[in-house]
Amino acid sequence: MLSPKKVKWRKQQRGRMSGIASRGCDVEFGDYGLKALEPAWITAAQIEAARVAISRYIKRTGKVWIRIFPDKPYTKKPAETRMGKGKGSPEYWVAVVKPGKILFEIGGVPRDVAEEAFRLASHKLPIKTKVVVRGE
Amino acid sequence: MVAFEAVVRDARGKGVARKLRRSGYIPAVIYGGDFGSKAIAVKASTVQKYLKGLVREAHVWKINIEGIGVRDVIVKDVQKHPVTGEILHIDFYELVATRTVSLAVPLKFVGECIGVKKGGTLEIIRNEIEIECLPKDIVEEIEVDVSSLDIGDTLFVRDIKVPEGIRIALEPDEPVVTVVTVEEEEEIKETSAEE
Repeated sequence: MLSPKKVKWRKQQRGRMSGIASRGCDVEFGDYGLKALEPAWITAAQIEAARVAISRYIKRTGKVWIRIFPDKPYTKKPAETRMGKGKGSPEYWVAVVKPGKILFEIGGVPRDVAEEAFRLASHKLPIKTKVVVRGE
Repeated sequence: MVAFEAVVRDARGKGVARKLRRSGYIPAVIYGGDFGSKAIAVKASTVQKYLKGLVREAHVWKINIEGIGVRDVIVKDVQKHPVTGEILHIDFYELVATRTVSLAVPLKFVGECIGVKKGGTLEIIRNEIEIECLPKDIVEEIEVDVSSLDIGDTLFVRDIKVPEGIRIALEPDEPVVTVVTVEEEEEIKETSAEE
Protein backbone atom coordinates (compact mmCIF):
# COMPACT_ATOMS: atom_id res chain seq x y z
CA MET A 1 0.00 0.00 0.00
CA LEU A 2 1.06 3.59 -0.55
CA SER A 3 2.58 5.43 2.39
CA PRO A 4 5.27 8.06 2.93
CA LYS A 5 8.83 6.77 3.26
CA LYS A 6 9.75 9.27 5.91
CA VAL A 7 7.82 11.95 7.77
CA LYS A 8 8.95 14.88 9.85
CA TRP A 9 6.14 14.54 12.40
CA ARG A 10 4.36 11.29 13.27
CA LYS A 11 0.96 12.76 14.07
CA GLN A 12 -1.11 15.47 12.41
CA GLN A 13 -4.12 17.54 13.39
CA ARG A 14 -7.29 16.61 11.57
CA GLY A 15 -7.98 19.83 9.67
CA ARG A 16 -11.03 20.70 7.59
CA MET A 17 -12.16 19.60 4.13
CA SER A 18 -14.17 22.66 3.13
CA GLY A 19 -14.37 23.92 -0.43
CA ILE A 20 -13.43 22.26 -3.67
CA ALA A 21 -10.14 21.13 -5.16
CA SER A 22 -8.23 23.76 -7.09
CA ARG A 23 -5.32 21.59 -8.20
CA GLY A 24 -5.28 18.16 -9.79
CA CYS A 25 -8.71 18.72 -11.32
CA ASP A 26 -7.86 17.91 -14.95
CA VAL A 27 -6.89 14.70 -16.70
CA GLU A 28 -3.19 15.25 -17.38
CA PHE A 29 -1.56 11.91 -18.18
CA GLY A 30 -4.08 9.42 -19.53
CA ASP A 31 -7.22 9.68 -21.66
CA TYR A 32 -9.85 9.18 -18.95
CA GLY A 33 -10.04 10.10 -15.29
CA LEU A 34 -12.09 9.32 -12.21
CA LYS A 35 -13.17 12.54 -10.52
CA ALA A 36 -14.24 12.86 -6.88
CA LEU A 37 -17.60 14.55 -6.33
CA GLU A 38 -17.48 14.57 -2.52
CA PRO A 39 -14.85 15.32 0.11
CA ALA A 40 -13.32 12.39 1.99
CA TRP A 41 -10.28 10.87 3.62
CA ILE A 42 -9.39 8.02 1.29
CA THR A 43 -7.25 5.39 2.95
CA ALA A 44 -4.23 3.72 1.43
CA ALA A 45 -6.15 0.42 1.47
CA GLN A 46 -9.04 1.93 -0.50
CA ILE A 47 -6.64 3.39 -3.07
CA GLU A 48 -4.92 0.02 -3.43
CA ALA A 49 -8.24 -1.83 -3.76
CA ALA A 50 -9.39 0.57 -6.48
CA ARG A 51 -6.07 0.28 -8.28
CA VAL A 52 -6.23 -3.52 -8.22
CA ALA A 53 -9.84 -3.43 -9.50
CA ILE A 54 -8.79 -1.22 -12.42
CA SER A 55 -5.67 -3.15 -13.36
CA ARG A 56 -7.47 -6.52 -13.13
CA TYR A 57 -10.17 -5.29 -15.49
CA ILE A 58 -7.94 -3.67 -18.08
CA LYS A 59 -5.57 -6.66 -17.78
CA ARG A 60 -2.35 -6.16 -19.70
CA THR A 61 -3.50 -3.25 -21.80
CA GLY A 62 -3.31 0.42 -20.99
CA LYS A 63 -1.69 2.30 -18.17
CA VAL A 64 -3.01 3.48 -14.81
CA TRP A 65 -1.99 6.61 -12.93
CA ILE A 66 -2.80 7.20 -9.25
CA ARG A 67 -3.21 10.95 -8.78
CA ILE A 68 -3.61 11.01 -5.00
CA PHE A 69 -1.20 10.01 -2.27
CA PRO A 70 -2.05 9.09 1.33
CA ASP A 71 0.31 11.35 3.27
CA LYS A 72 -1.84 12.09 6.32
CA PRO A 73 -1.48 9.74 9.34
CA TYR A 74 -4.73 8.53 10.90
CA THR A 75 -4.37 7.96 14.63
CA LYS A 76 -6.47 5.74 16.81
CA LYS A 77 -6.62 5.02 20.53
CA PRO A 78 -6.56 1.36 21.56
CA ALA A 79 -9.88 -0.33 22.45
CA GLU A 80 -11.21 0.03 25.99
CA THR A 81 -8.94 2.93 26.80
CA ARG A 82 -10.05 5.79 29.02
CA MET A 83 -10.09 9.23 27.44
CA GLY A 84 -7.09 11.47 27.84
CA LYS A 85 -3.45 10.40 28.17
CA GLY A 86 -2.57 11.94 24.84
CA LYS A 87 -3.23 11.32 21.18
CA GLY A 88 -3.47 7.76 19.88
CA SER A 89 -0.88 6.06 17.73
CA PRO A 90 -0.86 6.22 13.89
CA GLU A 91 -2.91 3.37 12.43
CA TYR A 92 -2.90 4.01 8.70
CA TRP A 93 -2.51 6.69 6.06
CA VAL A 94 -5.16 8.72 4.27
CA ALA A 95 -5.31 11.10 1.31
CA VAL A 96 -7.37 14.23 1.82
CA VAL A 97 -9.65 14.51 -1.21
CA LYS A 98 -11.88 17.44 -2.06
CA PRO A 99 -14.61 17.52 -4.74
CA GLY A 100 -13.17 17.93 -8.22
CA LYS A 101 -9.95 16.00 -7.62
CA ILE A 102 -8.89 13.43 -10.21
CA LEU A 103 -8.24 10.20 -8.32
CA PHE A 104 -7.14 7.83 -11.08
CA GLU A 105 -6.35 8.08 -14.77
CA ILE A 106 -6.30 5.45 -17.48
CA GLY A 107 -4.65 5.67 -20.88
CA GLY A 108 -4.42 3.40 -23.89
CA VAL A 109 -7.79 1.67 -23.58
CA PRO A 110 -11.15 2.27 -25.30
CA ARG A 111 -13.73 4.42 -23.53
CA ASP A 112 -16.07 1.57 -22.60
CA VAL A 113 -13.22 -0.38 -20.98
CA ALA A 114 -12.12 2.69 -19.01
CA GLU A 115 -15.68 3.38 -17.86
CA GLU A 116 -16.20 -0.18 -16.64
CA ALA A 117 -12.81 -0.20 -14.88
CA PHE A 118 -13.69 3.07 -13.14
CA ARG A 119 -17.12 1.71 -12.21
CA LEU A 120 -15.48 -1.25 -10.48
CA ALA A 121 -12.94 1.05 -8.81
CA SER A 122 -15.60 3.47 -7.59
CA HIS A 123 -17.18 0.65 -5.57
CA LYS A 124 -13.96 0.47 -3.55
CA LEU A 125 -14.12 4.16 -2.67
CA PRO A 126 -16.17 5.89 0.03
CA ILE A 127 -17.36 8.74 -2.22
CA LYS A 128 -19.41 9.49 -5.31
CA THR A 129 -17.32 9.84 -8.45
CA LYS A 130 -17.70 10.47 -12.16
CA VAL A 131 -15.70 9.58 -15.25
CA VAL A 132 -14.17 12.47 -17.17
CA VAL A 133 -12.39 12.63 -20.52
CA ARG A 134 -9.18 14.53 -21.16
CA GLY A 135 -9.81 18.06 -22.47
CA GLU A 136 -13.57 17.94 -22.08
CA MET B 1 -18.68 32.19 -40.10
CA VAL B 2 -18.80 34.13 -36.86
CA ALA B 3 -18.80 31.71 -33.95
CA PHE B 4 -18.92 33.94 -30.90
CA GLU B 5 -20.93 37.08 -30.16
CA ALA B 6 -19.43 39.30 -27.49
CA VAL B 7 -19.70 42.70 -25.85
CA VAL B 8 -17.06 44.81 -24.14
CA ARG B 9 -17.37 44.83 -20.34
CA ASP B 10 -16.02 47.51 -18.06
CA ALA B 11 -16.95 46.18 -14.66
CA ARG B 12 -14.62 43.63 -13.13
CA GLY B 13 -14.64 41.35 -10.13
CA LYS B 14 -16.21 38.23 -8.70
CA GLY B 15 -19.71 39.66 -8.11
CA VAL B 16 -19.90 41.20 -11.57
CA ALA B 17 -18.71 37.98 -13.18
CA ARG B 18 -21.39 35.99 -11.35
CA LYS B 19 -24.08 38.45 -12.42
CA LEU B 20 -22.86 38.15 -16.01
CA ARG B 21 -23.07 34.35 -15.89
CA ARG B 22 -26.59 34.55 -14.52
CA SER B 23 -27.60 36.86 -17.35
CA GLY B 24 -26.39 34.48 -20.07
CA TYR B 25 -22.86 35.74 -20.67
CA ILE B 26 -19.46 34.29 -19.88
CA PRO B 27 -16.63 36.62 -18.84
CA ALA B 28 -13.67 36.51 -21.20
CA VAL B 29 -10.60 38.43 -22.21
CA ILE B 30 -9.11 39.11 -25.63
CA TYR B 31 -5.48 40.02 -26.11
CA GLY B 32 -2.61 39.79 -28.58
CA GLY B 33 -4.10 42.21 -31.11
CA ASP B 34 -3.76 45.91 -31.88
CA PHE B 35 -5.91 47.20 -29.05
CA GLY B 36 -4.08 45.38 -26.27
CA SER B 37 -6.02 43.50 -23.66
CA LYS B 38 -9.77 43.96 -23.39
CA ALA B 39 -12.28 42.45 -21.00
CA ILE B 40 -15.30 41.11 -22.86
CA ALA B 41 -18.37 39.00 -22.20
CA VAL B 42 -19.33 36.24 -24.64
CA LYS B 43 -22.87 34.99 -25.14
CA ALA B 44 -23.12 31.70 -23.27
CA SER B 45 -25.30 30.14 -25.98
CA THR B 46 -22.54 30.54 -28.59
CA VAL B 47 -19.92 29.20 -26.21
CA GLN B 48 -21.97 26.13 -25.35
CA LYS B 49 -22.52 25.47 -29.02
CA TYR B 50 -18.87 25.53 -30.05
CA LEU B 51 -16.81 24.85 -26.92
CA LYS B 52 -18.84 22.03 -25.41
CA GLY B 53 -16.50 19.13 -26.09
CA LEU B 54 -12.76 19.01 -26.49
CA VAL B 55 -11.38 22.55 -26.75
CA ARG B 56 -8.43 22.80 -29.06
CA GLU B 57 -6.10 25.74 -29.13
CA ALA B 58 -5.27 25.06 -32.77
CA HIS B 59 -8.53 26.21 -34.31
CA VAL B 60 -9.16 29.67 -35.71
CA TRP B 61 -12.50 31.14 -34.64
CA LYS B 62 -14.22 34.37 -35.58
CA ILE B 63 -15.53 36.56 -32.80
CA ASN B 64 -17.82 39.54 -33.27
CA ILE B 65 -17.28 42.10 -30.54
CA GLU B 66 -19.91 44.83 -30.39
CA GLY B 67 -18.32 48.16 -31.26
CA ILE B 68 -15.02 46.61 -32.39
CA GLY B 69 -15.96 44.21 -35.15
CA VAL B 70 -15.11 40.71 -36.29
CA ARG B 71 -11.70 39.36 -35.29
CA ASP B 72 -9.84 36.10 -35.86
CA VAL B 73 -8.93 34.43 -32.59
CA ILE B 74 -7.74 31.22 -31.04
CA VAL B 75 -8.95 29.97 -27.67
CA LYS B 76 -5.87 30.16 -25.44
CA ASP B 77 -7.46 28.99 -22.21
CA VAL B 78 -10.81 27.85 -20.88
CA GLN B 79 -11.40 27.89 -17.14
CA LYS B 80 -13.90 25.32 -15.99
CA HIS B 81 -15.55 24.63 -12.66
CA PRO B 82 -13.64 21.70 -11.12
CA VAL B 83 -16.80 19.78 -10.17
CA THR B 84 -19.57 20.77 -12.57
CA GLY B 85 -17.39 21.44 -15.63
CA GLU B 86 -19.26 24.68 -16.35
CA ILE B 87 -17.21 27.18 -18.38
CA LEU B 88 -16.26 30.12 -16.13
CA HIS B 89 -13.89 32.20 -18.24
CA ILE B 90 -12.28 32.16 -21.68
CA ASP B 91 -9.00 33.62 -22.95
CA PHE B 92 -9.08 34.61 -26.63
CA TYR B 93 -5.85 35.39 -28.44
CA GLU B 94 -6.29 37.67 -31.41
CA LEU B 95 -4.39 36.68 -34.54
CA VAL B 96 -2.49 39.22 -36.60
CA ALA B 97 -1.70 37.97 -40.11
CA THR B 98 1.95 39.07 -39.99
CA ARG B 99 2.72 38.04 -36.43
CA THR B 100 3.96 34.58 -35.46
CA VAL B 101 1.79 32.81 -32.95
CA SER B 102 2.78 29.98 -30.63
CA LEU B 103 0.19 27.38 -29.80
CA ALA B 104 -0.28 23.75 -28.80
CA VAL B 105 -1.35 21.37 -31.56
CA PRO B 106 -2.68 17.88 -30.75
CA LEU B 107 -0.86 14.90 -32.21
CA LYS B 108 -2.74 12.19 -34.05
CA PHE B 109 -1.02 8.84 -33.90
CA VAL B 110 -1.63 6.80 -37.05
CA GLY B 111 -0.71 3.25 -37.94
CA GLU B 112 -0.39 0.15 -35.80
CA CYS B 113 3.00 -0.33 -34.16
CA ILE B 114 5.03 -3.47 -34.68
CA GLY B 115 5.59 -3.47 -30.91
CA VAL B 116 1.88 -3.41 -30.13
CA LYS B 117 1.32 -6.40 -32.43
CA LYS B 118 3.99 -8.22 -30.39
CA GLY B 119 2.14 -7.51 -27.17
CA GLY B 120 3.62 -4.17 -26.10
CA THR B 121 1.74 -1.01 -25.19
CA LEU B 122 1.97 2.34 -26.90
CA GLU B 123 2.80 4.82 -24.16
CA ILE B 124 2.01 8.38 -25.18
CA ILE B 125 4.26 10.86 -23.42
CA ARG B 126 3.05 13.96 -25.28
CA ASN B 127 -0.44 14.37 -26.66
CA GLU B 128 0.32 17.77 -28.14
CA ILE B 129 3.31 19.84 -29.16
CA GLU B 130 4.07 23.54 -29.07
CA ILE B 131 4.47 25.09 -32.49
CA GLU B 132 5.23 28.55 -33.83
CA CYS B 133 3.78 29.72 -37.13
CA LEU B 134 1.90 32.47 -38.91
CA PRO B 135 -1.90 32.37 -38.51
CA LYS B 136 -2.35 31.20 -42.13
CA ASP B 137 -0.23 28.10 -41.42
CA ILE B 138 -2.16 26.91 -38.35
CA VAL B 139 -3.07 23.22 -38.56
CA GLU B 140 -5.66 21.56 -36.34
CA GLU B 141 -3.60 18.44 -35.75
CA ILE B 142 -0.33 16.87 -36.75
CA GLU B 143 -0.20 13.25 -37.85
CA VAL B 144 2.53 11.07 -36.44
CA ASP B 145 3.17 7.68 -38.00
CA VAL B 146 3.99 5.15 -35.29
CA SER B 147 3.77 1.99 -37.41
CA SER B 148 7.55 1.44 -37.45
CA LEU B 149 7.96 1.42 -33.66
CA ASP B 150 9.01 -1.86 -32.07
CA ILE B 151 9.09 -2.73 -28.37
CA GLY B 152 11.59 -0.41 -26.67
CA ASP B 153 11.58 2.13 -29.51
CA THR B 154 10.91 5.79 -28.82
CA LEU B 155 9.80 8.51 -31.19
CA PHE B 156 11.28 11.94 -30.46
CA VAL B 157 10.21 15.49 -31.33
CA ARG B 158 12.87 15.57 -34.07
CA ASP B 159 11.12 12.65 -35.83
CA ILE B 160 7.85 14.57 -36.27
CA LYS B 161 7.30 15.89 -39.76
CA VAL B 162 5.47 19.22 -39.79
CA PRO B 163 4.14 21.16 -42.79
CA GLU B 164 6.16 24.03 -44.19
CA GLY B 165 5.96 27.29 -42.27
CA ILE B 166 5.64 25.57 -38.91
CA ARG B 167 8.45 25.43 -36.35
CA ILE B 168 8.29 23.11 -33.37
CA ALA B 169 9.07 25.07 -30.21
CA LEU B 170 10.40 22.10 -28.26
CA GLU B 171 13.76 20.47 -27.70
CA PRO B 172 14.39 17.93 -30.51
CA ASP B 173 15.41 15.27 -27.98
CA GLU B 174 12.13 15.26 -26.10
CA PRO B 175 10.32 11.92 -26.31
CA VAL B 176 6.79 11.84 -27.74
CA VAL B 177 5.74 8.23 -27.73
CA THR B 178 7.32 4.94 -26.75
CA VAL B 179 6.41 1.28 -26.92
CA VAL B 180 6.84 -0.57 -23.64
CA THR B 181 6.28 -4.09 -22.45
CA VAL B 182 3.33 -4.48 -20.11
CA GLU B 183 4.39 -5.03 -16.52
CA GLU B 184 2.80 -7.80 -14.54
CA GLU B 185 0.42 -6.65 -11.85
CA GLU B 186 2.27 -6.21 -8.61
CA GLU B 187 1.34 -5.05 -5.18
CA ILE B 188 2.72 -1.66 -4.24
CA LYS B 189 5.45 -2.46 -1.76
CA GLU B 190 4.89 -1.45 1.81
CA THR B 191 7.55 1.04 2.82
CA SER B 192 5.90 2.82 5.67
CA ALA B 193 7.45 5.78 7.44
CA GLU B 194 9.41 4.99 10.54
CA GLU B 195 7.45 5.44 13.68
